[in-house]
Amino acid sequence: MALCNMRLAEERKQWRKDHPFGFWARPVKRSDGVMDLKVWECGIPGKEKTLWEGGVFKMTMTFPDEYPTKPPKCKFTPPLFHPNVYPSGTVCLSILNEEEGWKPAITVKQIALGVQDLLDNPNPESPAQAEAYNLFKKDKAEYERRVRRVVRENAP
Amino acid sequence: MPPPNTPEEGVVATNTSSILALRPSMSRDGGGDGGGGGGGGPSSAAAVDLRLLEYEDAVDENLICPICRVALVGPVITNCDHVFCHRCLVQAHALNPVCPVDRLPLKLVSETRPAPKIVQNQLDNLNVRCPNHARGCHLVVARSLVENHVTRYCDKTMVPCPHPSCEHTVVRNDVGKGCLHYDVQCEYCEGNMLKADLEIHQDQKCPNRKKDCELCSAEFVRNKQEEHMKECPEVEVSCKYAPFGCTQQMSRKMAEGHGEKCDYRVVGPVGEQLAELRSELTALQEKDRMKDRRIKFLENRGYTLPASNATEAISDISLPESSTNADMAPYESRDQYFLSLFETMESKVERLSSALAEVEGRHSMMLINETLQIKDQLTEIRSTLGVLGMHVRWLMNFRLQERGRVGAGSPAMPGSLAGNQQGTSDPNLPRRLSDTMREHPPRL
Repeated sequence: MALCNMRLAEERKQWRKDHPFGFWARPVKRSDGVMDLKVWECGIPGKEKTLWEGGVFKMTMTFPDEYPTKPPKCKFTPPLFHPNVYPSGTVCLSILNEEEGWKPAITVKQIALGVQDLLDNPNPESPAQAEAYNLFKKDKAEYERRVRRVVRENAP
Repeated sequence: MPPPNTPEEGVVATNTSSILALRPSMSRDGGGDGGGGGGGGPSSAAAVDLRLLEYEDAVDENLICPICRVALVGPVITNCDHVFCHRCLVQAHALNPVCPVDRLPLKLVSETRPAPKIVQNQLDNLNVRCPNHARGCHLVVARSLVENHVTRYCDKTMVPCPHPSCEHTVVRNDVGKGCLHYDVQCEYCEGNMLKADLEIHQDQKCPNRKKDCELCSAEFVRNKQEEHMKECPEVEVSCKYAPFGCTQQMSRKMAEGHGEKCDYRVVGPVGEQLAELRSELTALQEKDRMKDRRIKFLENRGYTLPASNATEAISDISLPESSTNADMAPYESRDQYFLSLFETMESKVERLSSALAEVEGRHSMMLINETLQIKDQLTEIRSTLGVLGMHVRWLMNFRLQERGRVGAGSPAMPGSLAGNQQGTSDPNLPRRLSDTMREHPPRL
């Protein structure tokens, strides 16, 4: 759909012009070398002065044809240890949910910042994976230890 | 059972179709209110898609559509005070009938209206690059004018090929060059392409289009070799004093420095003067030769004329008789004598013909002068005649009328006067005539 590609081209332009420090995001290249605007790879850095500081987590954004009316799907690759990330890696975040908080006015930059914020502020109301959720609820010390390990593994 | 609450999909579907059906009328509204700016709904179907334009400056965030994230095109405002491109809103609404910003339910037709004129005006004033930028048009123009530029004036717009049976398009600039849609081979990369695309290919795309200059090692586009050669700092040029003897050849960047030190720089100005003098000299020599010939001719004449008695023919050149006689040399042969005689005659004839022409001119001038006067007089006389004729005609008319009235007036008079002046008819008769005359004074 023309609107989708147009909007993505504009997002790309805006991102290149200005994006938050430490983040990166770019459309992937398909096997034939053509840029596929509908799939972006990005890096979400952990916020400073939090448990997540020092890691940069790789995430794939997949934009549907109905974008921007429908939200992109954000998926950590590899799946991330976090209460609101499904075992598949998909992020569970209100602004990324078509039925909840998504609106076409949300930009890629806002998504990236929203996901970064989610890292240190998990939402216990909508758990997505049992392991991280249980540790987060019951064993904070172990949870933090696991997070530090994940950060170490994902240090740039 | 057929439920009273129809499935949601059905609702959405009907909504969609009704919205799409309503779109054309919405567009027209938008266009009408948007003014002649061309940013309204109808322009979206035109040659230029305003949403794909590149803006010269960063566009104010308030003028950006939250859906497509570019400057608004055909802006509409919702009852909840959010502004979108008309087309974006229609598309988004078809998928989800809520306001794309605050997610409140939204009715497309009743709850949206064209954005205020001021918004449209601000959008019209945004500067955009010509969409033919990639093909080399570097114009920056107000957005409201870009469509006009592209469809009518831009040299780089693609238009149908002038060849009747060719279905390709061609840049407007090349229309005059005939059909360019035949295969050619790029001389640099050996790729095949249409002639129409060759120039752009060689200027921008060809993998081998660039070449390092052998002399200055700067990279340049092969197509532009000549231009590079004119400014390449390493190209050998000769000293600017070369015409005066400097034989040095050096690279262009050195030439400047050399010019100031060249041994011939003192000679330069002198040389120029010399050349001037030389050309003057040749002119003088030429003159001298002519004079020589003339003198010789006169000398010859001086020798023969006493015999032929034709001295009056050439009166403007009067050589002292003595000197002519002193330098006089006898003719070498009879032929020469006749030749000189012939020349004399020829010059005489020339002189006569010129005199004749002069006389002719004078005569014609005189004639013209005189005839002019005569013509003037003639017109004057003619006009006087016309006036006289008018006088005469009027007089004749008057006389005729008078006579007629005198003849027919007396029987008619009692009838005409019977109504108003019965008693005094007879004494008034002559006076009335003079009155009539005064009422209709003669007009010339």
